[in-house]
Amino acid sequence: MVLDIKNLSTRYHTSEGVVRAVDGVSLSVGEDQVFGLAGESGCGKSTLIRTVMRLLPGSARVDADELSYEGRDLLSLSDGEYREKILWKGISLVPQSAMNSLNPVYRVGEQVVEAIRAHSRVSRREALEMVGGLFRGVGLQPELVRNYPHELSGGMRQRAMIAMSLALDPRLIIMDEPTTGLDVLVQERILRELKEIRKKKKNAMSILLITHDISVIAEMSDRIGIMYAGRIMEQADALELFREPYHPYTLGLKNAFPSIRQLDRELISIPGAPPNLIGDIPGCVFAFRCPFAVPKCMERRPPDLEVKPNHFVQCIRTDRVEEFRERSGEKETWRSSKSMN
Amino acid sequence: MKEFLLTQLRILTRHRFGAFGGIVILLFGVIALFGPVLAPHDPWTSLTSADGRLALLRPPSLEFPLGTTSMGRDILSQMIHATRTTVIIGLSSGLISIIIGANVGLLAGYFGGRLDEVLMRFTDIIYGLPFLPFLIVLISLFGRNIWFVILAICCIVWRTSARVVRAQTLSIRQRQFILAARARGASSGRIIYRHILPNIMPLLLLYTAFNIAWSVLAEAGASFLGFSDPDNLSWGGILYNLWISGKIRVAWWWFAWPSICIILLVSALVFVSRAYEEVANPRLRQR
Amino acid sequence: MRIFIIRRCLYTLLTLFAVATILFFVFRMLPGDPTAQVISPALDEAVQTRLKQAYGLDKPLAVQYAFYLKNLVTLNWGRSFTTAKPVFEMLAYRFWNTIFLMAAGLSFTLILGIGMGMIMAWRRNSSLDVGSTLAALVLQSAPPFVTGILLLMILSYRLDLFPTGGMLASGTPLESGFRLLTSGDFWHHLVLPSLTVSFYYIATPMLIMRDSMLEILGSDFIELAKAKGLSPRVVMIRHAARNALLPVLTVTSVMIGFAIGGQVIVEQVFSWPGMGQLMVQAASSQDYPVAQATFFLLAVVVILMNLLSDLSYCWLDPRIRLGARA
Repeated sequence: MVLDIKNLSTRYHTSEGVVRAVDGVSLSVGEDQVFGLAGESGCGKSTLIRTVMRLLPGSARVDADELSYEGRDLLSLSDGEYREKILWKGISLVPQSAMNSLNPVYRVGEQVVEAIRAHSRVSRREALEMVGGLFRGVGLQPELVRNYPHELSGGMRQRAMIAMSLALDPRLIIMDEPTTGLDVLVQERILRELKEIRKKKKNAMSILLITHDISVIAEMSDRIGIMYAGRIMEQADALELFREPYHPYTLGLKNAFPSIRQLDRELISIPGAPPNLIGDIPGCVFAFRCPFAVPKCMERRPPDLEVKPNHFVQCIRTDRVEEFRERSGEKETWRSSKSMN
Repeated sequence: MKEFLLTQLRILTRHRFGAFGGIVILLFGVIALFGPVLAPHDPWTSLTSADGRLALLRPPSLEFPLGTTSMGRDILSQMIHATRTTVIIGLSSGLISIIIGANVGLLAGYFGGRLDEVLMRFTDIIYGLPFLPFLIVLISLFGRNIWFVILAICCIVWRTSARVVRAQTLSIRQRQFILAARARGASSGRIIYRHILPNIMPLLLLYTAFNIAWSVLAEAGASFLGFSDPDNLSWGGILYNLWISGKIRVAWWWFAWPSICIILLVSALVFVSRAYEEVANPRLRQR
Repeated sequence: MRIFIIRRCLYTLLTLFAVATILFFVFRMLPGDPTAQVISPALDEAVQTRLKQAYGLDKPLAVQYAFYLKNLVTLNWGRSFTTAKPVFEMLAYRFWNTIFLMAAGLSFTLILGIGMGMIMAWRRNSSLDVGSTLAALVLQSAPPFVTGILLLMILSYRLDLFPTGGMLASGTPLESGFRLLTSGDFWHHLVLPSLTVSFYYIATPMLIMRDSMLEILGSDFIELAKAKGLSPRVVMIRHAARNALLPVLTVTSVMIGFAIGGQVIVEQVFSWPGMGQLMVQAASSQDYPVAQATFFLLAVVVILMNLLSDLSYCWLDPRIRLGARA
């Protein structure tokens, strides 16, 4: 296991109360595996990333049964050790707005060199050569290392960020919304190139891919987790999740995306909005939006049920899943946000 | 008008420092208005103390709460009279300069084009003139008279508010309600003074406070160097007398009171302007 | 960018020219004999008439203006009323004294102000932050003579750590120019006045740096810098401060202009033999040629510093230097 998370919670202590941004999340990313984490904005994805990378503000509190990288416990490491051994070397990040993640006053090559030299004893010249090679690997001309961020297009900057994330050959790369803000053609190209890069790499590289774009998840992931309001509703291998989804939220998500096979299928969105994460939410977080919820759903938090091997769902009504799968395809099911039966 | 005052009160009290600033300013204003009537002595008379001797360079005592000068003059009385002078100069310069600056900014910002170019180039030239030296030159040329001082200060202080008001005007000009007014055929004058002006009020009040503050500082500086009206003593003037008397080493009280008052008044004005800054720029509001 | 530089320089020339013109007219508006600004009324009548002809003061205004500009540019700045020495010589001596004081004050302001601003932002809302903000506010509200005299009273009169004034110990033969820099006595005398100069406007770069840093610290590229495993100090200085500096430097130009006024006062308080002190003397004794020339020189310094600051900002921000693409 490259990344092992068991029952992780991150809470922000604000003047308005305690915000449970990540509430008892468990997931594992295996070797050479792409784990896609899907969820709408505000579901806690960013907080999860920041927790793993230790980029949280002072008001945050983290606790977990386990948070480890390649078997090493992350929570007990000091900040210095984290910076030395984990950050960028073990786990790197392609952040959400790669456009803005590059410092405008330094050349892009310099910024990658900085990452390299912070963790290894190479000369500047050697590092620059490495960067040139990395750029070539992501489809950028090596000469671009001398350019400033504002001189590159959005797609080029994204590739530069990917190159930077690969620089120290980490075991795990977290990609936060790697295709947001790019037009579809560039998106498609980058995804394709990502796959190529993974294939070409001699050492195994895992990716934790975080996005709200189901199509991207579908294309890239080996394993998928569906996140909502700080919890993971459903978690399974990719193919299995698409063939046999269990959780009502997953069912709802499927319908919200256009399918090229069913061109005239109407898009059905899930009415309502994610809950306010301040304070404790008894029961299932999705219950008040779920068309299949019963009063019992709101009483206690549903445990992680293993409905199939390695397929986990947080729902107490999985016995009716066949029926739900059918009904979720109909528009009337989602009409109101009240529970139906 | 009443509503205007009420709004100002609300703005000031919301901000802790703003309230403090407002109180201090009010205090000085009251002293300026009524002080000279209540001053125990004439600021220019050399006084004799109770024991019959000339009260030269006395430290603060019951008889002379703020002490006396090297000529035996009561510093408390001097301070009270000087407050009036300082307040008059500060207020006059501040108000006149904001009127000039606001108008320059509004006209340049609203009309743009040639007028804007000309006005802004002129402003740039004024920015090229060092403030205090110019004050000194003007006062030395035209005489040490309180009204010349005010005039001289006004010549320079308006420049900052002109630039800022112009920037604001440029951005407001694009807004919907202005475009609507223009579509209705409203005259430029109406648009500028009935529509844009009320919207930049917080900014204007902010800079009024700043302008008054800068005027007070400038006047203090010029007076300290001897460029003030000898008949109208100001706080800076008191310090000038101290400096030329050569008694700076011994008469700490002579130095303390005018200095403290200058600092108090100017910081009060800055606090007040900070309070307005939060209104004018909501980004800075306390979350 | 080349065009930008050229345009800025031309613009500066225009401003200098305009200031000279303003000066010309202001001094003409003297109550009484307009020629009194060039020729001392104390001279003998016949001499005055001759000088008037020599200076072309009996000619129409436009011609006088032309003469004035010519003299200004050729550094023929007349003679002092009080000492009858050529004005230019007097100024040449004092020019560097003022420049050194200004440079010392400015360096201190920039180093301490920017440094403090950076630290204040990094330790937001700590007692250091709040305390420094308060101190800055008070310093900003205090005229330079208050700060100066206060420093004198504490560090000089009481503790006798520093001299009470002047540029060199009295009795030392007057020197000027860069030879001063080698004199330890000079540096000793420089401390208090340059501190005073610096405190006068230190609040502005400090608070602006703080605000700028706070804004930058919320940026995405800062988060990435941290994610790269860089030490907090590297993030703060190499990444945050480097970007936060830019707004501070734009204010520098305004600050310098503002500071020259303070400089005049400081020179008076510390009896520093610079241009400011000379100007005050000249204005008090109605030595108009000296006053006019000194003022002009001060204005030139201000205007040139503005230009320098604009150009340096241009150089520091690659987006402007190379032209930002969409």
